[in-house]
Amino acid sequence: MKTFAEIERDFIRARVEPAFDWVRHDRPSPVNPMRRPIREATVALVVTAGAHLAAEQPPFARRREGDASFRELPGDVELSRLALSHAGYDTARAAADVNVVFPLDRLRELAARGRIGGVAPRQYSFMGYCLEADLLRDNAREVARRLTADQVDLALLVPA
Amino acid sequence: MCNQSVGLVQRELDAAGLPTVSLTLAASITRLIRPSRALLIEHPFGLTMGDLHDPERHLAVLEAMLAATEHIAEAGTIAALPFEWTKDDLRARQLRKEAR
Repeated sequence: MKTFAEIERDFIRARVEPAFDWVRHDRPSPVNPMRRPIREATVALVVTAGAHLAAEQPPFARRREGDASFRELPGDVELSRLALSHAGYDTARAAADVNVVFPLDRLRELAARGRIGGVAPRQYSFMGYCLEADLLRDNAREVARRLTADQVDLALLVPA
Repeated sequence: MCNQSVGLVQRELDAAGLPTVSLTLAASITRLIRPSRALLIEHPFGLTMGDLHDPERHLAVLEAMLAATEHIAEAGTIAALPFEWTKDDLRARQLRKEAR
């Protein structure tokens, strides 16, 4: 029986890119220890839901090779100001409650009750359909720089 | 595809020294990318945290992610979360590429 990785790979090969294959890494990336307890930690969400500010930011591109860019979202943004653009999942369904792919309201609730120290001032969304892995890595390094500048203690990553 | 992208982004945050935890909807893809710490959640694609307007489930998933920072020390771990999707066969159809 085929794994989902094989089913999805064959789907992309048939429809988009005949030479497509998944990126493979032999070694895992390191687990970095928490520098402070969770109750004191500043937490950021990094999602691939294709979320952007509906009025101020462009939607993600619907190109064959996808879109490796990201959108920076204010930590205090109302989720009603967001739109979702992503070819890979049903964004109309998620738009009825963006927390299903970008759980920012829930993160705020955890901060309000003291479970975490706080919500990071800047949150990030990519759009998960992207065939340009090198460009995606470059943009992820920029997000890492910004998270570090904001003294973020923990990044939680959510696919869609 | 989202699950490869999350893993690639996570690897860069890991390389920059940030503590991270990710969710994955597709362990067979994440096993190839090998980010530091991932949690398999068998929810439908596009409903990663749970169903619409189910804040209890969303919070439980976030709590599981926070707990992973204390429980998972081995790089490359993909730990399965206990959450189930019993509402319909959406995830099963998505895994066969019959639904979005």
